[in-house]
Amino acid sequence: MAANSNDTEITRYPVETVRNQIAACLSGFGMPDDHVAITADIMVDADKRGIDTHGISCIPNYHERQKNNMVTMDATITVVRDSPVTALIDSGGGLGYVPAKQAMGMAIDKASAMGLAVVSVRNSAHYGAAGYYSRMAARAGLIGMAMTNTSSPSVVPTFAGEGRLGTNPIAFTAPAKRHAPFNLDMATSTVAGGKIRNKAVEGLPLPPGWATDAEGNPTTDAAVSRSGGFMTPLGGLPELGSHKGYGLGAMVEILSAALSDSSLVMSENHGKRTPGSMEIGHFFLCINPTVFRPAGAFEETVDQLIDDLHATEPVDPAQKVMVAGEPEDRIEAEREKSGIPVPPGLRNRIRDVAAEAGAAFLLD
Amino acid sequence: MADTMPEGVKFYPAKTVRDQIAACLTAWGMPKDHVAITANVMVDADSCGIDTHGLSMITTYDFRRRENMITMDAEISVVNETPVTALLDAGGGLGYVPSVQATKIAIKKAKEMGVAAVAVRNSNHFGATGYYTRMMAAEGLVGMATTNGSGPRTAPTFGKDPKLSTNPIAFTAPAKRNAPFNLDMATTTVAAGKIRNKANENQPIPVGWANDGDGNPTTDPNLYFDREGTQTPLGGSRELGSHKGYGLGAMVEILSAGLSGASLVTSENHGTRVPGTMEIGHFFLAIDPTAFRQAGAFEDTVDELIDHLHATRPVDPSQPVLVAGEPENIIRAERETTGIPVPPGLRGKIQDIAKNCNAQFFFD
Repeated sequence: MAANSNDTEITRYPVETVRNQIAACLSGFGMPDDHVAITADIMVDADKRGIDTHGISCIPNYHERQKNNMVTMDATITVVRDSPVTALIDSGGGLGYVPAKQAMGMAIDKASAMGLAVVSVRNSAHYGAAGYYSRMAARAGLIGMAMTNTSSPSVVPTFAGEGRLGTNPIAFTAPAKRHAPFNLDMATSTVAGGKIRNKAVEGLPLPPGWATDAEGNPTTDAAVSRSGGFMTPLGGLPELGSHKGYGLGAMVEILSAALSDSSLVMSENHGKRTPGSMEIGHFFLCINPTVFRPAGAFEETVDQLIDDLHATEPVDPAQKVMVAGEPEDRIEAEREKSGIPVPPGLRNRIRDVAAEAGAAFLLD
Repeated sequence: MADTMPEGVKFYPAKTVRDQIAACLTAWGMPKDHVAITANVMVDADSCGIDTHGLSMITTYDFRRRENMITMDAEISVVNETPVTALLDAGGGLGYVPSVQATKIAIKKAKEMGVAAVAVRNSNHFGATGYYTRMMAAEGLVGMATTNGSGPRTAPTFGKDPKLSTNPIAFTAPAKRNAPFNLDMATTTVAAGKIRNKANENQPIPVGWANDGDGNPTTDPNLYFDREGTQTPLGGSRELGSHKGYGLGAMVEILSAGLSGASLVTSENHGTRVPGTMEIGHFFLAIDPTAFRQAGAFEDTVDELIDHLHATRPVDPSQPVLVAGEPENIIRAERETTGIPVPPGLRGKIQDIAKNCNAQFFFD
């Protein structure tokens, strides 16, 4: 395809176009239509909310994994165990989006009926942004929590000289009334890997505490993203409480992998030992506030908390105190109008993937 | 611990410390059955090195009971109950007895149903959060517990004023060959006690532990204790992810106060607006792994996780990689032989308190 001005500039595309591009690729990879529809919706939601690491940019990665037989695109999802307040789902080695949405849907139904529910998922793969699933719960008037373990041990425990845990995210969403839900969606590492890559691209040093070299020593050299360094757990350094971020990461590993009987991220050949599956695990929790308090009372308290936090005097008047979820809500409002930015490097990669998978290329 | 131990520290058997705690509580009018439970939970904190949450709290409780902020002969009631949830009202009493009761209810329900959540309102300080989650692990369950606090000390990211407390999270998972995985952490960078220790020793604090009254990082521990400064959320600064610690603190506030209907720590006159209670809230969650896996399989995976983490190559061979809960277990084993250290300042205060309330003094 001939080069055009798009090859050097960031171009914005309507949400629908990005969604259709994702869907076209997934279909090209052999995913059935009903799974494509759900997966593309969740992936483009991440792009819409500015979580650019978890949307269309995952497509080249998924293509690699599909070609290497690490994910099963036409996976069969089964409910292995089911009780009034718990369930265990087997993803059949497929991408995590469809089973995760099904799991949270089950948790919502059970918690709406019973007050509380936990659903665990095994034999799965990457499921995108954890906060998508906890926000599902908040829309149903419930508190939602979602966690997952990951594909590679990129985070170094406190005092350790090698990576042992993934970025192991925690998402927590609580519904409000006047405000958008409180929506925390965080890796238990200090920063996402993408932020370290960005510093490397710009030739900038890293702030102390973001990363270690391959021996586990703190480093400010952004090249660690290429030379085999590791990310730090939240806290960054032992004296700043990195053992807490490490502990939270291990908690996420236990809830995601141990409860579901998935593979531990630090185990040998994690993600590679069973063809067609990365054996990743997810955890979903729903709590119905109305079993504890009269309907609406919980949401009023969350509104009150958000009001109190907004009223905090800021250090810099130009940078007001925010509440978890607000940065993403702002970007979503903006991108619904302006579209989703796709940088030229990513667009070129998507073009190659589409060509190889026999999918239409929609980002011209 | 040893390097910060002031001169004149004396060691007492755990039973003596327990009896001293019990004597004070009894003299304050706490009924016998409540004294027994409260003293057991408090001395357990001293036994495993959480010196901020055991005997030393007697001085704080003495102040609060004289200010009529605690009801010593509180009646605990179950406000509502379902097969998997319950809400308890602590009646304005100290949080230990209602929290043990809430934990027992959660254990019973989770064993029957697979998962359970219990909220507590109208409560007070409940000691070390991890005590309750360890109770759950001792019964083969995964436990989680949170509480909000008595006063705002932590500034949100970008904020100048304190809005949240140290809002701890505890998480315990049972193992077989190893001690349980036991995370018990404040969502702040460090506990206030660590800043106090630095102030006592006239040492600077590391950048990232606390901010001055203008919200700027400070190395002067006295700025925090003169109440002009604030503690930082885990992460320490925006650059190192303090918005994540702030988000976790707000999550704890929502689970502890929002779900139970307790007072938000951000609200005006929190802890002082109703005589005889500090209106603090707690949250307890129990998950039965056998709802998801065969009996014993979960514990095997937790053992495997702990073994892998222990086998991690350390940066410094003399400082091996630890797992959450191990530092406390090491101190517990040590103090079983040495007894519990009581520094002279605390001993003097306890002597005065015992004298004033006609309680026996055991530390002669």
